[in-house]
Amino acid sequence: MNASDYLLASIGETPLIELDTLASTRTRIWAKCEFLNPTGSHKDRLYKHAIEKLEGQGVLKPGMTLIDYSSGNAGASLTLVGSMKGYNTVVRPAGLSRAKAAQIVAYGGKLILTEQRLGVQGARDEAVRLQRRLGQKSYLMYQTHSSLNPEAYGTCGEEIVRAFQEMDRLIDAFVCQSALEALSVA
Amino acid sequence: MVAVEIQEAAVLRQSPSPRSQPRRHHIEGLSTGEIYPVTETELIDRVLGCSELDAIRTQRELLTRKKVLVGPSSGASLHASRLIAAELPENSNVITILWDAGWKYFAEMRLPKAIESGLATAKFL
Repeated sequence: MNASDYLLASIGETPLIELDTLASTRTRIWAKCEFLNPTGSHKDRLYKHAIEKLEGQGVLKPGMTLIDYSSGNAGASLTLVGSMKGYNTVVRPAGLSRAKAAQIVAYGGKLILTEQRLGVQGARDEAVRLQRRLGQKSYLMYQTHSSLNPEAYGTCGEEIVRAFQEMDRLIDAFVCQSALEALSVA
Repeated sequence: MVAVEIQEAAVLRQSPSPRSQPRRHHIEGLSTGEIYPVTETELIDRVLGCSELDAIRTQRELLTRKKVLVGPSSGASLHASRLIAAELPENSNVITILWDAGWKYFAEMRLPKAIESGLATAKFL
């Protein structure tokens, strides 16, 4: 298997580990290790799914510039998964984690910084402007609005359900971050 | 279904006016100041707030106690999971997600003292 096939194939199917057991009620806390995806976050699932689906629909063609806005994790995933199709552009508020910015650049992504005080919204506005300027040779992935985003996490939910079925256990509560698509895991 | 947000920048429990200035905080990827169209809020049964401090404390505890090196949003998720676990009946199962890797935040992170002193005394062979 060549390196890029390996990286793509190793997205998803992350381990489920037990973290805590509350002594008082013997309630167990389990965690899905999305940080073990190739770029170090759950966002790998998003761009693998989105790019493959859009290619299948004929929307994306090799050589196009793929754009998205990100605080960093999504940018790394877009750049790694998209790197087979020409280069990617990532718009990102300045002043966030330096290692995430370095990772995007290291994968060959082109990084455009926006003022930090404008937040993700400012980065999104800039990404929209950039896509208009580049026109048909580019595509804005629009991670906060695209239905491909929640769709991409279906596999994560299925993996969790399968693991619990195999252990013959029921899931009583699912705790996840509020900001984004990840709720769709459920 | 429990959603976690950063207490200092909550949007699900108190809606700010659209596109208001997002409150700055240090937990990247959470509570960016708006509710996105891809967030399926109808799925949420309950919203819990986690303070920045609890998120970072829990992140650090995972590192030092379990050697699991993840980012602060994972700390927030585990913190909320513990709050929920404490309310549930015997032998329940709570599941959460560890979102991203901790090395992504090393440049900004104040490292535990043991790591700092280990780095300070490291020598070339």
